[in-house]
Amino acid sequence: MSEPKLPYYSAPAGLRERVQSAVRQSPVRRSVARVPFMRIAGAAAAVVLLAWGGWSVGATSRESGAATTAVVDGHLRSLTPGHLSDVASTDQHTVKPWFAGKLDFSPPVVDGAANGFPLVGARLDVVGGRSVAAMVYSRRGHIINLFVRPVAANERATDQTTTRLGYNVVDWTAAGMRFWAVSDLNAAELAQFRDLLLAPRP
Amino acid sequence: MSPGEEISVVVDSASRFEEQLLPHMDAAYNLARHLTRNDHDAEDVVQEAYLRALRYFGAFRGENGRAWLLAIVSHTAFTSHRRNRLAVITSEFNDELHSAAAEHEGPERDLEHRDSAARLESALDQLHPRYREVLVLRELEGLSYEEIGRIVRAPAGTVMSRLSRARARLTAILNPDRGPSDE
Repeated sequence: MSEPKLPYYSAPAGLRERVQSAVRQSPVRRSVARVPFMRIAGAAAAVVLLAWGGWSVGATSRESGAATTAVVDGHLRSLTPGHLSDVASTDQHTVKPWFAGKLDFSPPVVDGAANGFPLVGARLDVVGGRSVAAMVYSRRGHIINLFVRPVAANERATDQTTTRLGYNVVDWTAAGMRFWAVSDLNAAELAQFRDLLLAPRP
Repeated sequence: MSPGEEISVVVDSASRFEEQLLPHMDAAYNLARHLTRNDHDAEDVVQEAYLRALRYFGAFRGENGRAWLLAIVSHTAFTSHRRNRLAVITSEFNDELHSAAAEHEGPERDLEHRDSAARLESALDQLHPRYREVLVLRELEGLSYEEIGRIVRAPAGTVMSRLSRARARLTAILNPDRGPSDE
């Protein structure tokens, strides 16, 4: 007789989030980040890391935090199956009109494919109780969520990089809009992504 | 390596753990579920295994994240205090001894199940966890005998013979009327 086929039990919904949050709350996590670093980089890079780390921690404590939390939550939510985008398109001319009528503003939509940041899709999300545009980009398999909304009244201009739950968040204001780029992509490339969006376009 | 690349490696290391090991959660859960035979314990094992993996991540050389994680899942399932029932069974496990059809006789229970999937579940319940383990690693994960050997901490030869005994035992449980199989 043929061999019985064993059942394959897939991880139940919610387990990933529970494990992720347990891992992130673990006190071990802090030391993990240093191990490969000490192996790979030299003293010069150590200075860079410490400077970056110190700056990043300082920035985190200064940041109101609520918005950062909200965009990282939005990023995590988007990674659950079926939640990444409402319109899957790599064409900025499809994505931009898609937002019309769904938002009370028109977010700038840029396709960074030529620079290695292809647009994947878009959806609506909510940050701090306000509807925002969420555009999805990818970079070498890493997903980047770009959240955009108009600058609020008496909101100060910002340009900072923070880390929350292991995700990098680059947050800036430009042209009357506030942007948050969230990804597990490294901070250097995420900053490159911001610079791409900030670059003047023809 | 340019300075830019160095920085990217450094920054990435914070999420390297998640990138390398979280994708294997289905494999981890599947093994844990087969070993514990229930959802709740399986989830506990997976969560505990990930925390252990995090602790030992410095020793991970980036070779095969799935096999590395599965070794920790197996060890967690068999050693965790809360699942000491599994641990007790295991301490008594002996490859030669358990090839005999003596353990967990329950043919009447089998007959109650008409549905083949349910019959298989019931048969798996009766199979020793060390047998279920090698079956899962070989047939569902497709790992090599050497990789399985590192996970179950046994030589590849032992893995091969344990696998064939596991298959024979499972077949015997599923077909009690055929009599004991020597294959």
